[in-house]
Amino acid sequence: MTFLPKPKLHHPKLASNALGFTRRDYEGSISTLCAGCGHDSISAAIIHACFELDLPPHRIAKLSGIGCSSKTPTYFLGNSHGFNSVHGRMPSVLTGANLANRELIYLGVSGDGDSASIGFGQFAHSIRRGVNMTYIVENNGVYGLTKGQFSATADKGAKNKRGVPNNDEPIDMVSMALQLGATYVGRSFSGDKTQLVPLIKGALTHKGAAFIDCISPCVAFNNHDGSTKSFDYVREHNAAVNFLDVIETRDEITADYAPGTVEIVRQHDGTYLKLRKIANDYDATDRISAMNYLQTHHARGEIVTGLLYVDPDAEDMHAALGTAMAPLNGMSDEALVPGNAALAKLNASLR
Amino acid sequence: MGLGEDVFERDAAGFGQGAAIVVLGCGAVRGDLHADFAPGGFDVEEAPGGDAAFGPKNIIWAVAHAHQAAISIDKFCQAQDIADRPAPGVTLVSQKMGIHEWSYDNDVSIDLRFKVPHREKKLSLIDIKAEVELGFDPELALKEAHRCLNCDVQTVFAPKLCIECDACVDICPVDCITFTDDGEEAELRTRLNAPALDMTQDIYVSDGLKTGRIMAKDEDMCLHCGLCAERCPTGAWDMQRFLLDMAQVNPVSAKLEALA
Repeated sequence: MTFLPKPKLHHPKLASNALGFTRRDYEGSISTLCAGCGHDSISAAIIHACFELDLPPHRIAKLSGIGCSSKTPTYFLGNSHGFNSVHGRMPSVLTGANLANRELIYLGVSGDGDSASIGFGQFAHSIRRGVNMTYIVENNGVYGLTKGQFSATADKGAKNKRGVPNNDEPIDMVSMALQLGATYVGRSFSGDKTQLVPLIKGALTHKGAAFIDCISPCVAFNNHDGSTKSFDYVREHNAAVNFLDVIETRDEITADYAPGTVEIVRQHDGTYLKLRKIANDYDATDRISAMNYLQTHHARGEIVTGLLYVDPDAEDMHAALGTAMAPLNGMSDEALVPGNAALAKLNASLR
Repeated sequence: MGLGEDVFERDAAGFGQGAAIVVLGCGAVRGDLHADFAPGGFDVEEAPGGDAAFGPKNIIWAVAHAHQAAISIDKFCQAQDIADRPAPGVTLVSQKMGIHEWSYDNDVSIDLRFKVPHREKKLSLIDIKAEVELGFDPELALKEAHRCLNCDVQTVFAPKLCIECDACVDICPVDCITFTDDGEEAELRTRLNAPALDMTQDIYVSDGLKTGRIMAKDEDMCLHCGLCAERCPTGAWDMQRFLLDMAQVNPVSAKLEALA
């Protein structure tokens, strides 16, 4: 924890994006998390991603629940909309906000306690409804705010700081998201920004429910020998399947890659995802084989990271419900409250 | 006993630093000490020093030159190589006092220089004896002192303690820290988070990390704010005050030697 605000001085050659903002303009107030917390690296990755995508900060809504991870939205995007909701209820609040205003970019930030325990149901339903959002779980396997008890994502057999093993089966958030129909699923590691930043960029441009499970070591309670979510363990067991670049237009794609090493996926909104393959047999657009691959490699003790699944033709909740194109706050009172005559007409149509 | 030795022992040892300035005043030595002593003896013509050689300087420089001059004279008189200088003393002391507490003021001030208040022109023009510069009051003096760049406080990195959590990289306000693969310096400089292209300014590179990567830090950009050390969970970064003690004539020890 640091008490001083970050000095306003910056590098003299700090780059600006298309909107004229520097990366520093996407920062929030200084983090009060423990020094070295993986969550702070994820915050930095989100800042990088939003800066590089030229996102206008006032068009982003960041929502969170309760926990160390859910504190982090204070530490990035200081000029965006924010809602720190009740424990585990972030997905529901996000769904409601998205229904009311579909034009904002929704970023849900949650943790393993918030999403895999108290908010498991909320998480599941927001994913299966296909809410257009980026849902990031900052997964450290412990409850940091209450002094490091195992959370629902802690691996069976992993030891806590005092050497006591965990006896419960873990919930694999990525497998759950795939099962529930998320249309963009990734897993990454807070200690690897070269992988994480493009993954967040891809999620932000994706239309539909984008889910990222980000392993984020808890330096205070889960970064020791015997932990399966420590910096050392994750680095040793990291089995990346691909490396993602987000590309804006088709023109930038040159065709001089060796066959089979690059996979290009066109997304619905015209953006292209360029995947540099690491595992040759991995197809990121095949959900069933992705689930198989995950289980096989999980059994070998490997942590599979990268863009695990993407459905480029995904639709979101608004398309399924056939809602109005304009956000509610942009409609006139007459449109929002059409009056008794319209109600009578509707009722008559249902008789 | 040669002349130089005599000067050294009698003046420098017996009368302290003042005597060394006398040597300088004679124009017998120059600030960079040794190169211009002609072989076989001091050449006053070719070895000027002090203001005569370097233009106006203050008393601090004069004392420093004189110390070096005294060492040169002593070495020369003892037929030693005057180019072989005694090494300066170097001390690095950790400034850590608590988890996030430093014994120096690490809050970076963005204030511009504060102007010394002047007496009202009307008054200072009437009275020729009135001081024009009033000097800082305690409050303003404190603000001005807070502008200190703490350039003597160094960021010292201990790779063995580093867990590569990126906390320092994320917090650095000037993007001067990078963890990356090793490489040739010229190429490495282009790969940093903020490329360090000014070749006249050294970069701080450390290997010995668990992943085999290196830590590179652009010292030219560092604000010495210490946030990297505050955010470091393992104390791999430390803020240490650097003190350089140039070799000096020690009047007391020289005197003791003379007596022995």
